[in-house]
Order: sequence, then structure tokens, then C-alpha cells
Amino acid sequence: MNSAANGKVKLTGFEYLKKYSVILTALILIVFATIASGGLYFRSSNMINVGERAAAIGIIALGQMLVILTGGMDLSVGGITSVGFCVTAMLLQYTSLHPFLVILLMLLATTACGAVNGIIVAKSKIPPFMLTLGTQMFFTSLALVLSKSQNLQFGKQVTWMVEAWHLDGLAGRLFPTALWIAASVIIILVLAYTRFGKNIYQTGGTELAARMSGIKTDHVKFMVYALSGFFCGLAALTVEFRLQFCNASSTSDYMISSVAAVIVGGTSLKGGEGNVYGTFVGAFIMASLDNIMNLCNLDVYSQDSVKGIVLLVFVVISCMLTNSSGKKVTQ
Amino acid sequence: MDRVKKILSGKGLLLITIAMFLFCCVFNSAFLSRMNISGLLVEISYMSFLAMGMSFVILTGGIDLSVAANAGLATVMVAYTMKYWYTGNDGTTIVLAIVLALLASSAIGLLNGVMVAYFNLPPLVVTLAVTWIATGIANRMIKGAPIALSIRSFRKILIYNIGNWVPVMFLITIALLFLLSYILEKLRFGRETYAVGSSYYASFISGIKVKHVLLRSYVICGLFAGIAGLMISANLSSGYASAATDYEIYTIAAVVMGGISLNGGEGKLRNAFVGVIFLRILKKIVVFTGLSNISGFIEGMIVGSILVLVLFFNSLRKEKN
Repeated sequence: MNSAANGKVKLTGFEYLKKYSVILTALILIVFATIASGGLYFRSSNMINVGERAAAIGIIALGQMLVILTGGMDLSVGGITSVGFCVTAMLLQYTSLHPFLVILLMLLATTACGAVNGIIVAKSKIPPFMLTLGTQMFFTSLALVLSKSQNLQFGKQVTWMVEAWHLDGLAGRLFPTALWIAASVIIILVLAYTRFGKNIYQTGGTELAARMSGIKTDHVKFMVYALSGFFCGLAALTVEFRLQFCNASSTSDYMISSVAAVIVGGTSLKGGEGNVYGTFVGAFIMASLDNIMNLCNLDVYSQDSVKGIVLLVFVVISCMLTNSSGKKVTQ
Repeated sequence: MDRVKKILSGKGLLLITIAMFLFCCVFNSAFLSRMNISGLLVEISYMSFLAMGMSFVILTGGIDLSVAANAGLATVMVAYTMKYWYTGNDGTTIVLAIVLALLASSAIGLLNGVMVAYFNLPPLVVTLAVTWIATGIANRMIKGAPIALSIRSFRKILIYNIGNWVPVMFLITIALLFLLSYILEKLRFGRETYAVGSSYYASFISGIKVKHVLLRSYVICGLFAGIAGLMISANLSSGYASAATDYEIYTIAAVVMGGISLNGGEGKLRNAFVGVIFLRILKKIVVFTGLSNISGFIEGMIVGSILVLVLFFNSLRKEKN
């Protein structure tokens, strides 16, 4: 039972482990990082680096977590982020709109993409993972078609952002992380203190029961997918700021990474269980993994395998902890 | 609505596919050329292997998103073996390459199967993680750069055309299609697969070893992805990890369009085959009607939209029941 909304609940040892597993993981990671990189990991320049990389995944993972909490999954996050890049670049190139307006329009576009997912999931019985697999293909292709597979330039926007928000130097490097933290805090508050937040947990827990207690699960589902789209746009913003230009096809990793971050963070794939702290740490762990592997000079290709194995291990742990009631394949 | 449902069942898809094929013949003078048709049949062949393997998994109610990475790994194994483990004899090297590639892809399938069947992990996430792992292994072997196949006769053997029209590969595909359909529908092996897809519990209490059935469906899927990888590497004359990128979505699309239910336990293999043909001809249409001049990725948008539409109609059909 999710104890975020209840009062004090006495936890058994196992449940204690479940709740704080991600902290345990983070501790293990820190120890490992110290040993493996010989202290390099903890240099402030490195940590800022990790933060920058983690921010995009972390923001997307926030939206992904909301979707998974309702029992679904959004596999189209890569595609929606690509659409975000594409909209920004095209608006910057072909119109003379003010950069701030460009940002707003981009967020509107990505939220709309998420909303498309949301409507279809809410109004039909299509399994979310299948639907978002289809829309992933659609959105990625759309972005590649619109951008003609060329590299997308964000120079104008970045220049404006640096000027208007005083984001030069250190502030600039901290901007993605700051945005990520701000978004996480907002979601923490939403989940803990608003009815919408509680509805999300209920919808994921047992949908039928939620519906019978009057929660409009359709609306909830629609909103989480739209929010996921919004967060993809936000993440796109941080990437645009950091990289200044990129290609629409470079977002293929975001989908698995965001799901990995959510799972590592302890959110149950069945829905109804999980919290933002976990997802936050989860995204940080995934980015740190990348970083540590680089510091150890592990070649780029093996890094993928390592991340896959880590994800598998976490899924095993997550399932073991969730299935502590003993539900097996012969369900 | 009934009529619409009928249209989207197996027979309907076949009719639409035939119509599209005729459309191509009429509107594109170059369509019926030997090169075009034999190339099309080669593509259909390896996509069919992917689809047949995927069908096995989906029939048990699971899914395998790692087939693309698996096929890519197979192409890498072939190219790598030929380059670095040459046995001094073309023939034995080819055999070695094929054996190693199929072993590797079956091993990946085994990994998937063990995780799903014995650790009770959700197939979606497991196969996503395994995609990462397989891509990493494949890239590690080739260090990121494609390796050309060093034995020319490999391509000639696998893509041998009969009278320049029909690749042997295609005939093998058809033969295997019949064989698998027979296994699925008539033999206990196949019926158990359907049963497990319908209900783990019911199968379990009828004495079916659910875990075994699950395991072997993923191993078969892995093996077939490997076979597809062999064909792909012959087609491309090289091996690289992303040789089959994005194929998993097309495979799933073909299987879904062919009427195989994602919940498992329902659908015929031959319809998945029709789904593959449909998608390949669709791609040809997109190319020669000039749509792909707008962008090479228009096809992705079209297939994505069609997939969503088909899913939508399938879900309506389920609601009626």
C-alpha cells in the first residue's frame, strides 16, 4: 500500500528495503564510483557534467514515471523529443518569432503529441505500450521528415536564453540541473498534495476500484500522457541549450533510459507505486553509470551492454520486491 | 462495423495486398522486372523470419523487442567470423559463420526466455534491456565500424535466384511457413503455445509446462532473428550492429496487422506473413509514387498511422466480444 497519503504505517523489514532500495543503490554506486574512478567522480566539474547529462533523462523520466504510475508506459518519448527539436529549429529558421515564444510553441507542440497519445489510450483499449510504439514511429518519422534529416540549429535561441536569463558560465552549466530539480519538486508537490496526484496513484493501483470511487480515470490517463509530452519538450529545451545543435534521430536512447531511470528508482511497472525521489535518483544513477564508465575508459560500445545488464538486474530486484506476495508465472 | 472488421481480418488484408500489388504492376513499368521482384522477395523473406519468430512470442502473450538487435548481432557474427576466424577454406568458414551466428542469436533468445519464464519479468522491459546488451556486444565486436563480408560466395549461396526471379531464400521461407503453421495448429507443441497465450493458469492446471513453452518461444524467436540476420548480412554484404534497426516495429506491425492478438492465444501465422508482404509492397508504393522524395521517412509516418488504426479497429473488435 502506498504510504504517501496515509499516516504512519509500520513497515516490515522487507517493505523498508523496498521503500529505500534506491538509496541503497545510490550508496553502492557512490562506493563503486570512488573505487573505480579513484575519486575523479566527485570533482565538482565532473558532478556538474553528470548533472547536465542526467537532466534531460531525468525530466523525461518524470513524465514517464507519471505514465507508469497509471499502469502504462510511454515508448514515444524519443519521438516527441525529436518533434520538439524539430519545431524549435524550424521556427527559429523560418520565422522571426521571439525565442521565448518559440519555446512556448515547442512546449505546446510536444504537449499536443502527448495529448494524442493520451486521447487514444484513454478512449480505446489499445495497450499503451503498443500504441506508443506506433506513435514513436510516427513522431520520429515526422521529425525526420520535417527536418529533412539535417542537423538542427538552435543557436539563436541559446544566445537569447544566455542573455535574457543570465545563463553564462557556471549558471549556464547548472541550468539543466536546476530546471530538472525544479520540475521534480513541482511533481513531488503535485503527487503528494493534490487530488490529481492521488488520483494518479489510485488509477494505477486498481483501476476498477478507482473508477468506482468516482475518479475519472480517462481524464487522469489523458493528463499523464500530455504531461509526459510536456516534459519531453522541457527536456528538449535543456538539450538544445547544452548542445546548440543536434539531429532529430539522436533521441533513440531516451526511451530506454527514461524507463530504466524509473525502474531503477523503484517505481513498480504494475502502477500505483513509486515516488519522485526514486526516479530522481534513478536518472542520476543512469547518468552516473555513463559517466563512471567513461572515467574508467570503458569503450563506448560495451557501455550499452553494461547498462542493459544493470537494467535487467534492477528489473529482477524490482519484481522480486513487488512480487513478495508470491505471484509466479502460474498466476 | 462488422464489415470493417471483416476487411481487417486475414482475408481482407490479403485482398488489400493483392490490390496494392496490382496497383504497382499497372502504375510502375519497372515493377515487374526481375531485379525488383527478386529484391522484394528477399526482403519479404527475412522480414518473414522475423515475423514468424515474433508471432511465436506474441502468441504466448509476450513480446520481443530485441529481434532487431539480435538480427544485427547475427550479421556481425557472420562478418566477424569470416574476417577473423577464417579456417582456410571458404566452405567451412561459411558453415562456421552460420553456426556461430545462430548460436549467438539463440543465446540472446534464451536470455530473454529465461528472464521472462523463470524470473517472471515483464517481457517488454526485459527485451528492451536485452536490446541494449545485444547492441553493445555487436558494436563491441566490430568496434563501431561495419565489416564487409569477405567471402563473396556467401551472398551468392543465400541469394541464389532460380531463373533470376525467385530467390531460393523465398522458397525456404514459404516451406518454413507451412511447416510452422502445421506445428502451431496440429501438433501439441503449437497448441500448447496457443494455450499458454490464452491463460497461464488454465494451461498450468492442464499440465502444460508453462515455463518451458515460454522459454522455447523466445528461443525460437531468437533463432529466427538470427536466420533473418544471415539473410540481411548476405543482402548487404556486410555486418554491423544496426543492420536491422527499427525492424522490430515493422515486425510487430506486420504481426498485429495479420490479426495476431497481442494478448496471446489468437491468430494465424500465415496472416502475419500477409502482413509482411503488405508492408513491403507499401514501402515500394511509397518509393515509386515519389512520396519518398519528400523524405525517406514518410514511410515511417504512414506505417505508424496504419498501425495505430489497426490497433484501434482490433480493440473495437475486442470490445464487441
